Amino acid sequence: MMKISGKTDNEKLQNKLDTLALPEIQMPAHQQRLREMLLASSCFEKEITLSPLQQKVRAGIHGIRPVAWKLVATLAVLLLTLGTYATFFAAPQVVASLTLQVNPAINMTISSRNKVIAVNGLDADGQALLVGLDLTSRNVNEALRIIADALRKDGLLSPERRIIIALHPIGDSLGAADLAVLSGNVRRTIDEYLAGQGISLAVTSSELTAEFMETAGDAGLLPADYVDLVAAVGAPLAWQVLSLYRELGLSQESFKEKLDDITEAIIELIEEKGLSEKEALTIIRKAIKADPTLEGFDGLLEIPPRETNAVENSESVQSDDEESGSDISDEKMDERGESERPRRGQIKPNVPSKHEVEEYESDKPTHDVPKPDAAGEEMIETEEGAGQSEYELQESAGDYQE
Amino acid sequence: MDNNHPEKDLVAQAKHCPEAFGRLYDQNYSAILNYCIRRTGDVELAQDITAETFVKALKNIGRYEWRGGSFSAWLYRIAGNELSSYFRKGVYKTVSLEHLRESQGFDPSSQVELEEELIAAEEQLARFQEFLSCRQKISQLPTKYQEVITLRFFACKSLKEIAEILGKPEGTTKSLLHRGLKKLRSFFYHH
Repeated sequence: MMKISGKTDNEKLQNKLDTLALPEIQMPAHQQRLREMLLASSCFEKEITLSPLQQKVRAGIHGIRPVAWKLVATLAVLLLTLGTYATFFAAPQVVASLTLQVNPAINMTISSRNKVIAVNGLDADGQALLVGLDLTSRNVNEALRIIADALRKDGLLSPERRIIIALHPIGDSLGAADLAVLSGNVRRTIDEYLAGQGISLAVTSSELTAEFMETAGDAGLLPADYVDLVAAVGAPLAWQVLSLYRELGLSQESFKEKLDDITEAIIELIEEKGLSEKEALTIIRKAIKADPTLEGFDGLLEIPPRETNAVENSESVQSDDEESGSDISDEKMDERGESERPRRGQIKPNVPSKHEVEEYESDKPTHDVPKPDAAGEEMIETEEGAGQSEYELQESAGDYQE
Repeated sequence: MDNNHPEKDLVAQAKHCPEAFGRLYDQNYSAILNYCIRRTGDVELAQDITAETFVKALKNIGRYEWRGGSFSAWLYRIAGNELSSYFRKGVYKTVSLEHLRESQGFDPSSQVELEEELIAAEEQLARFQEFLSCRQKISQLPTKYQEVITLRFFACKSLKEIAEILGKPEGTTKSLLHRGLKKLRSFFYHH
């Protein structure tokens, strides 16, 4: 192999290239053919005469000073930067709150981008579980899998337990449909995790309103306390039941302790005794009011089914109807045209009269009204005077128990 | 009429006058065709790239702005882009030309003449064995070096003209040429 110095090589190569005989090819037929094609094309612009206005506009655009262009460009970049910052780096919008209870109980605040903004334990076990778990800024599904994994490792996903999920919106940006989608997504993530680990565990999820959660929070309740009530009677009625805590000035401890009994009672009144939701709620309310300590609550609600309440004595029914205006007498009339409504002493004493229900309904808290207030409490006092006295209520309850 | 820049007026006319464009075409066809042949070593491919170059020039001449350079530099730049596309992909498609052909129909009567001319041109090219060997070595270089070396030695352009075609400063073009030759040297003397 020949080795020559770099400079000599370069000169030699340049000389070689400079003196290289190059092909000079002429292709007239191709040139002519292509020429014809090009000149026959419709690509040629028509000569345009600009109107004075168009000339002004064009001159204006070209006449803008470079400094002005720079200013415009700087402003555009600034706006773009601010827009990008607002889109990607500004504080995320909080849209929902998710509570997961096994126990332990954990609450997560969720952003509009489905990320966890904040997480906290609602009880001591929940706080202990979260130690060492980095969940903030994670995708909700990912965070749920991490929590479920931690629960599994601590042996808390045993078959006798159940997972309760409660979701509620924060602010107005999340509609009912969006909340349902989020709830379905959460539920699917948990179900998939359990299936993947071969764990068989009941999962219950509820979509609630912010007012419901506020009321439940006031009463010191966690989802496990009211999930069965919600599942049985629906969130609106469940919320009215929970509102009784504040309405009747009950203690947190006794209300929480008796909520299972209240739940059972209201389910029984509606499903087994055939009462309407309004009637059932009025009975529960009366029963609690008769015994605010809730110690004798069970006894007050021992009511036979509606069908067995029918008795022959119509005098008492008449007087009852006069007093209470109950619509029950309208429903059952015997062949003599008399009401089958049982008489005092034999009828179920705690079934509210139509008047009572209507009066209560007119002023009771509904799911449209955020919470019961002082006026509500006043109404309850007035209602007693209009219907039965507390003494009469207890007396009739005693009659029934006999 | 700008007497100092007659090409400027011709380009301005060519935007809406086929005859003016025809004159620009006649002035540059041969140079562009031979540049393409010398870059590719393939007459038929060079024909296609030349045709595509002029079709694109025709389509875009409305946006061409005279900045003191030559019209041919613009054509060389279009041809260079087409050649780079071919070297990058390994295949070449005459998209604009086909579009033009479709809109104008097909003339079979001229095909025989074109084919005969093509065969003759290929035979003529085959006689330049030393050139073909040299071109083959250049084709092994990265495209940026191929471009600057072929413009300098095969299209006989000055450094200033090459800089204008490539849209790069003259100093950068000189460095590119120097580095390209250094790389090419190894193919000539060390292999």
